[in-house]
Amino acid sequence: MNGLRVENLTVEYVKRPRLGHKEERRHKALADISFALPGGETLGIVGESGCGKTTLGHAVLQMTPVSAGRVLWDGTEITALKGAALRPFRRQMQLVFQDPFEAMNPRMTVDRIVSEPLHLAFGMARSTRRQKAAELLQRVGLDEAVLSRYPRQLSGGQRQRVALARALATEPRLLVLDEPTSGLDVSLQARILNLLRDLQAEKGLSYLFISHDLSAISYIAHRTVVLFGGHMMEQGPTATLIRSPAHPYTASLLAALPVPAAGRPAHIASDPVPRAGALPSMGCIYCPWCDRAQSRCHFDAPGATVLEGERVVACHYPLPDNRQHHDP
Amino acid sequence: MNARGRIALAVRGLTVGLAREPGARALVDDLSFEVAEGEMLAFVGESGSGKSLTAAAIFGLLPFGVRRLAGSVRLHDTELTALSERALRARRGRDMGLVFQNPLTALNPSHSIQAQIAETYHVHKGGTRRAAKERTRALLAEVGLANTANGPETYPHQLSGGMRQRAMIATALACDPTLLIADEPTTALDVVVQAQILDLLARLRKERGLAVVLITHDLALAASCADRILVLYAGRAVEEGCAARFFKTPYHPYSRALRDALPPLHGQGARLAEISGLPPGPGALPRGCRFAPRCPNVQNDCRETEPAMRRTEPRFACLHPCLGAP
Amino acid sequence: MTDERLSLDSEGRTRAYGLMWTWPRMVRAASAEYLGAGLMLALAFFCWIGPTLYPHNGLAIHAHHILSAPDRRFALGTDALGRNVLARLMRGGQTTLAIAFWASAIGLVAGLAYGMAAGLGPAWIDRLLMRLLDALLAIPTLVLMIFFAAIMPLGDVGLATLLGLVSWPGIARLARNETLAARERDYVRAARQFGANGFYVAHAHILRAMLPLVVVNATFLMADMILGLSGLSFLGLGIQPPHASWGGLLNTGAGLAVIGSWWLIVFPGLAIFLAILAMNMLGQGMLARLNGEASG
Repeated sequence: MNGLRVENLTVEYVKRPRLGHKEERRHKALADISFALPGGETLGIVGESGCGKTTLGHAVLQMTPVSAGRVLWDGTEITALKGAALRPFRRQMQLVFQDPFEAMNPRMTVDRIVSEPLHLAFGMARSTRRQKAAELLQRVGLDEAVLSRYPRQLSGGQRQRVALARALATEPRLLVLDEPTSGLDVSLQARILNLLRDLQAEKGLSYLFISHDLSAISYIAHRTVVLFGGHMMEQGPTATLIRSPAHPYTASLLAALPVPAAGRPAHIASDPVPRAGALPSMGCIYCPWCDRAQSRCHFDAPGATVLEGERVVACHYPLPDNRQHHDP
Repeated sequence: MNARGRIALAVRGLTVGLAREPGARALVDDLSFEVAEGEMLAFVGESGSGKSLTAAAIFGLLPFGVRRLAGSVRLHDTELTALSERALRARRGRDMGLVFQNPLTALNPSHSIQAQIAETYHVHKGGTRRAAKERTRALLAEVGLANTANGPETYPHQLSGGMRQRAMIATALACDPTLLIADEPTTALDVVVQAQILDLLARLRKERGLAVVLITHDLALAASCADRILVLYAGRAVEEGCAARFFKTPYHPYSRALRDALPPLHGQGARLAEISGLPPGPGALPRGCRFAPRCPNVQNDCRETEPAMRRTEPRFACLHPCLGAP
Repeated sequence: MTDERLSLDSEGRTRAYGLMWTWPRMVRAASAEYLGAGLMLALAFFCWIGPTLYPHNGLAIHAHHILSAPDRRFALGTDALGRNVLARLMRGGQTTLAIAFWASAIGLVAGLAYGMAAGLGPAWIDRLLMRLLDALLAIPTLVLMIFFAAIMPLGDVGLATLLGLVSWPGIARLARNETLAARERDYVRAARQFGANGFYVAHAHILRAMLPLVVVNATFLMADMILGLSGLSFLGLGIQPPHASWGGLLNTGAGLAVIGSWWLIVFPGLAIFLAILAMNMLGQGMLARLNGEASG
């Protein structure tokens, strides 16, 4: 298949046994995640902080060890590759880090930052590198004058563009974008989102767009995966998911979005319990926070069920499909 | 403006500029607004629009080299600008509370949350240590940190981002202030936690009659929870009005641009509207309307005369406002 | 930024090189590194340019002027063989400072290589190298030096190598910690994703990140080397007579000072003191500046 395919991906961290305890403790950062991202499309990954979004991005790029499951790129199982065999695939898949400032060496100029991948991936000569770096910057809407600056001399929006230009340098076909617009003003967010759309149309890039903001996801993603506590709650075409969420967690994410002049939805206001604390060890992982939970949910973990309209949901009692009522 | 409470904060003609060049154009220019008890006013604008500087000027906490050049700030019956530094410091903790974007920098990492709240209360209100402890417990319960209130000493790093922000709000509320200024309180938080924090603020102002000033760059957020919105651009108020009206029919092209830059939840076809260029720096303000170089509706007279704020509703400062279709 | 400062803080305080003392806060202010650098330049000028301005042979024996106190002819007096102490002090300084310099350079390179290999390699390499380092650190430096210097006669190059090779563990530990901190940074992970190997990451990112800190520590190292070399020479294991060194001058002077020849120990002692003071001030000043930059 053309594009990215993730099958039953599991990432587990093993904590060393503490003194006096025999068993090692395992923490599942990601449990049994499957999805497909056809070439040229965008898949949104949405969830709160700590839900495993960032780990998922790193696991897809083989930047973090995968405990079980497979990641396939154009039909090749890259989870089975190592070292030199993996290198050409690394080039095709790039990550735009959550914090662009952290992701740039503060002692390097933008010129060096953007030409680094040119040197590493293509062994390009120094003179041609600078020209190519200027071209890359131009493509993300930055002036050549930025080349001689240091990261701290750039504004937040400029830094994000430099990060994008650098990721594009290896001519990747998949970009993992980790919260690319968090921390930016709305006007800058609009520009980055538009730029991403333009680049996709121009070069047929695939995006894995990671965010906690469903409104940004709704603008850019064709399909969306909703994560909670490392588990897949729901996935489906973004428009369907937003119009008619099947999982109660998706519904609560939607309800949390600020709705202009409509006042806050009542059920959020009555839920002052922060969603922190331990996840349940059995049953549905969302069950302690779910207002639709029934006795079955406490001991029987729901598997992924396919609903109509290409939707997959992990819930015993999904919300009814109410698309008809909302269609204009 | 029906059934507004007593005016808690009244700012008139507030102008903030560089101390060394009082003649240069100001960073915050001739800003006037009022916040009633139990009301939430939202300042909306891009970074560099003077939102945070206005808050700092109200608190008398302007950064080094920046000074209030003109204007009055009245909190209930007290003219804050006439107070001495010492008197102002006493009022700051007692009558006004401040909540920052990043609570981790505002909370002391080496003292427990409980100790910090008790200390704030003790310094301003006096009384016994026991009373301060009781008060701390009540405050933490009020902001939804019941476990922390009755549990062991808790340090800032042990809390999640949302819980830290709750603790920060509890600290700001320690001495029953009448005014709370929240500077981007939810920017670093997830949407779900953001909703919870905004609910908390809404509840507090209802229950305590607290006047709240919310500073944000997100017009949708402002419109969802504030009563009134004031849009700032390059240090000037460009539009002010009731939040319910604002999102539907913004008059100023800048307000409209801020709205249209938000990705709509339904309908992903259309391209997002961008605002071209960047806000001008204080040294490079254009002649005439400050927004003219980036404005889609710009006409020749915009580049000549700086529009004044209308005195009657709807209040905006624009020569060619957006009328008609939303 | 915060990470950098934290690691600087902990390193700045835990860096405990044998005999170094903490410089009083008095001169800790911004001028410390200038004072230190100025003092060091003055000493270098004294040792290398001095002999051309004061052309006396430190090896020439003036049989009629044995143990004469400082006077107009011999500004710092003469020793038991009637040799000019000022001239010997200049020559001795050349040897002492040059050997100390090369020794710290060797220690620096060895320490960096070892520390970065531990920091960048797989976990078992790191564990192995660090245990080895602990074992080395358990043996007192001076004892180690005396042992090697006693079993084989050493020339200048040999001395520099010996001093360098016993001094690197401190730098190695620092380099390893900084490497571990840097390899988890996002910009290093980004470079890996572009296909960078460990060698590229080491020189393009990690060395670059820790270079200022390492240079600062090299100045402290040099102060230690001056002291170490002087100590060895004082014990008669360093630079061999008739060649002069500051420690050697102290050694020969020590026995005669009791009979009143104070100039034989005061001037070499002062030279050693000033040189160590200069290097420590330079290092402390730069460290303070680095900390300031990282936090502000």
